[in-house]
Amino acid sequence: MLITFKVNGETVQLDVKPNETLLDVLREKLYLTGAKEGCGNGECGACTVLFNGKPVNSCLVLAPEADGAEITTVEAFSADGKLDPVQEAFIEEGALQCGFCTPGFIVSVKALLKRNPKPSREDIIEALSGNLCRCTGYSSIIKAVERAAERGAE
Amino acid sequence: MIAFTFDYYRPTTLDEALNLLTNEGFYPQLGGTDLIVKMRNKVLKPKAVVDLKAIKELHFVKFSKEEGLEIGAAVTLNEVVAVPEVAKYYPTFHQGVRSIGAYQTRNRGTVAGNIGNSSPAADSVPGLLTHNAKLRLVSKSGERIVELKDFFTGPGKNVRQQGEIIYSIIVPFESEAIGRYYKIGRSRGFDLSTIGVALTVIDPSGNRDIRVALASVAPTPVRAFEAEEFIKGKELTPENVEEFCNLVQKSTSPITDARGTKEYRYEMAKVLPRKLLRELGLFKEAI
Repeated sequence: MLITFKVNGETVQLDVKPNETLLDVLREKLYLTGAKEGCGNGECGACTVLFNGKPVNSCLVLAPEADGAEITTVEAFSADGKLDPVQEAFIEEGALQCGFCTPGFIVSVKALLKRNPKPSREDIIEALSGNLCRCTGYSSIIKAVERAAERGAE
Repeated sequence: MIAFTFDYYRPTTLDEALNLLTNEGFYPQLGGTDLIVKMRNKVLKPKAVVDLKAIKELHFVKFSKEEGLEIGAAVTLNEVVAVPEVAKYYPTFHQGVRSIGAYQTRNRGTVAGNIGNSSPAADSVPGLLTHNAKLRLVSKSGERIVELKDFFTGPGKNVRQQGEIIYSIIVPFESEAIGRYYKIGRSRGFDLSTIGVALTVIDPSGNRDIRVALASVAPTPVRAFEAEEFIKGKELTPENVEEFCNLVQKSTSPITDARGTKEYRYEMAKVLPRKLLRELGLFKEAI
């Protein structure tokens, strides 16, 4: 079935099947491979994208559900080779090792700072509870979010 | 990718949706956070899913002290968390909703979906049970109101019939209330509950009606009516609290699964009501 939706500001029209997920379509038809499939069950958050501005697990959205929606992936946050302040903060704090979970974290953090520019530690932990990282132990990720917030990143 | 094919419909009117859902094998979808997982794991193989989110009349929350709270089926869990009256008048339910899944899941999932999925671990349910919530079920042949406590018949099973949808959840307002939902999971981040206990006190400074309901300790979420009956009008002495907690425990019939053993759940069913009474300042314990 034919769907029309916006991805990172651009209108896209695509033929999709109901048994494809939004994540499948982003990665395999639009080659936006930032969002990853970790668990495919909504538990790990590696596939997090913004759906009408809100972070969701794109592995748990059927492709046709995206018809008419605005989707933002991690690719939207760096333009012309310049990283987003949140991404810079992740690098400065060493908030990643293997990097597989990082795009999902960045998307969740961007959404958090947009709705709450000065999050408490608890706010950060709640907002990131759906993103699993198996390398860092989270401390450096939380520090990176605090650093980005201090700088007024949004 | 889901390993089988099915059709997808997104009706914009209730009539259209109810017509579609009379077909065998057609399944209603809200957030899809349980449904899609079940489909991926081939636990459920619908011929078609009928996405109800484009039906405008299912997106509403209303509250008045006379009519209580009513939540439309398509309202997301995070939207429910953000309603001030929910936090103020239904604290136990509010905390339960907030403990479901993670932030991302709550942007898609709904209370109606949590109930419709009918997991014994449904965290929105114990709080609702303590408030005598009801469901408005709608089908082509009309509407019926079902008490939430009578809705569940077993794990993943309920009295909803083919062609019927949960239109809304109705939660009566009786009086001011205090309460807590306490959930034990395996991780601090988020998890399905090993056990969840909702303790609500209706009219805490007047009649003081203590109500308890639990998740993940029986084939369906359960309310501990016997314990409630016992404690009615009684002082919260150590002896009475002990008996109250024994009766809460007696209302459970836990099993062992990946998230915990039946012995642990059974023990916690007795420990947690006491902890919640203490935390709500209703009972002081000599330690």
